[in-house]
Amino acid sequence: MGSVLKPVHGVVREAFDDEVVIINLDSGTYYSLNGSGVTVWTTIEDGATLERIVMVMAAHYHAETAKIEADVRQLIDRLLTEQLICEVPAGTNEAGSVSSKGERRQYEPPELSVFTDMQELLRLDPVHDVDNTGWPHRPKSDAEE
Amino acid sequence: MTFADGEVCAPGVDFFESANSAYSRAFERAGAVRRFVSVGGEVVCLEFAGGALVPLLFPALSHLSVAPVEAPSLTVHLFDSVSTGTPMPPAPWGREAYRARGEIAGFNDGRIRTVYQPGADSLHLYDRQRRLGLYWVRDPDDVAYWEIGAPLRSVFHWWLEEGDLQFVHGGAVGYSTGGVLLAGPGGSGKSTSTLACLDSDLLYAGDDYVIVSTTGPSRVHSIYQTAKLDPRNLNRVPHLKSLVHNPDRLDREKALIFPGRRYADRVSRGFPIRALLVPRVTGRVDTRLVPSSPGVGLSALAPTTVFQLPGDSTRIFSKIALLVHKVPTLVLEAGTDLAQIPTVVGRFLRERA
Repeated sequence: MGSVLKPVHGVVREAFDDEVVIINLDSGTYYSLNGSGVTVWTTIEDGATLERIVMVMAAHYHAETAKIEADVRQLIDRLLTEQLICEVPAGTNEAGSVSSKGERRQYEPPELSVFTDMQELLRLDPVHDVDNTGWPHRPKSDAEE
Repeated sequence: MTFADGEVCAPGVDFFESANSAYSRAFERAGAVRRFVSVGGEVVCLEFAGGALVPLLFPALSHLSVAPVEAPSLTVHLFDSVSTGTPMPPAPWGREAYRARGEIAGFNDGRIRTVYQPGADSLHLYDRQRRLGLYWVRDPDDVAYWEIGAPLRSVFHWWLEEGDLQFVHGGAVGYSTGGVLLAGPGGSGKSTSTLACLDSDLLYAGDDYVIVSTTGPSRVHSIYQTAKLDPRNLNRVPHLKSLVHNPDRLDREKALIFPGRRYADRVSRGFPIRALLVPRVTGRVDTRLVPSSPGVGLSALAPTTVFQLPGDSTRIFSKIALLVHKVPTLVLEAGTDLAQIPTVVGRFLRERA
């Protein structure tokens, strides 16, 4: 049994029908995960092995299992690299069967979009030297006139 | 940074008391000027020790003025040391305590919030138990232009944190019967689109920040009447140039605009929210609205809000997510003919009145 994948602490997310919006509160990076990626993420939410994720995907989408597994592995690697998910040792066996509610859908590989434009908001402002009042104060040359 | 409700750390309480005592001394030396405003339907008392900070920090909120009340929902004490001759006790923390957004490690807990903005040299405190905020700056000349445009943002946000109202980075225009929220990061066209609506029959509830209700009927509440615009876009709204507060510092600051100085009758305290618009600059002439997904709306509204406000980011995100589930998201494909923007938005709202 492989490791269980699950979201890391410090990652907030909201799932919609066709998209998951994820924010990494530590890094300031935010993401949009579209298409079949929603199914991958919602499966990971409660913790799932790679095998489990592939089983769920195969039950929901028309595609060869080998193709699905390759795409899922690629996505998992990216989610791990972005520190959105982590691996923990598998505990008990996962539930074996997976059933799809309704017909299987046409398959498109999962898409993860990355946005880094908010990162600078987490950068620390320079803390100036403390003046004789005991408080940091910008030098006069830096202060607004 | 998250806090267990009720968890209290002594250093935060001690410093708050020490700072508030300094305020009291300033008050006794310089007298008090009080202003009352309605924020999200609740009355807030702004009590300034001396008058030096009033013309700097009150104008952005002046459109919310109300008559004094005996028991405001929030009281904020404001003072500076130079005009009142009253120093603030030295900071009891070292340089290593500063975190992102100015949060001070070890001085934020379930009751007390403490932020010192290094870029603005201003101190912001909040006592949740007493619903009492405090703002201090050493010298009124040090007040940063963005604080003139959005004063007491941290204090208001902390005060609203517990309830269903949420500070968001966004603008709002509409009619008294309903309007739209505009959201997007810097450079998305949010401010230009919002300000383009001033010369129309649409009301204006804000550009930079507004307050939204996240449960029950969706509603936007105005907080700041100001707008901030990239100076390079001023030529697109030439009728607003005379309303720029800082025309001599546009080489290093965004243009800070006070619409209420000309459009007082168009500045609104709020209205129901009919939709969330995500502006996108297209380069084409014409403007149109294109239905989009709540995920697009959340991506436009949440990150820029979460990373600008101190406190519980998870809670902020969750509250905003509630909103986008309730109102439709559309992309405002903003064209170069800015006059079309209020026309398109107005038509959209009239069709949904």
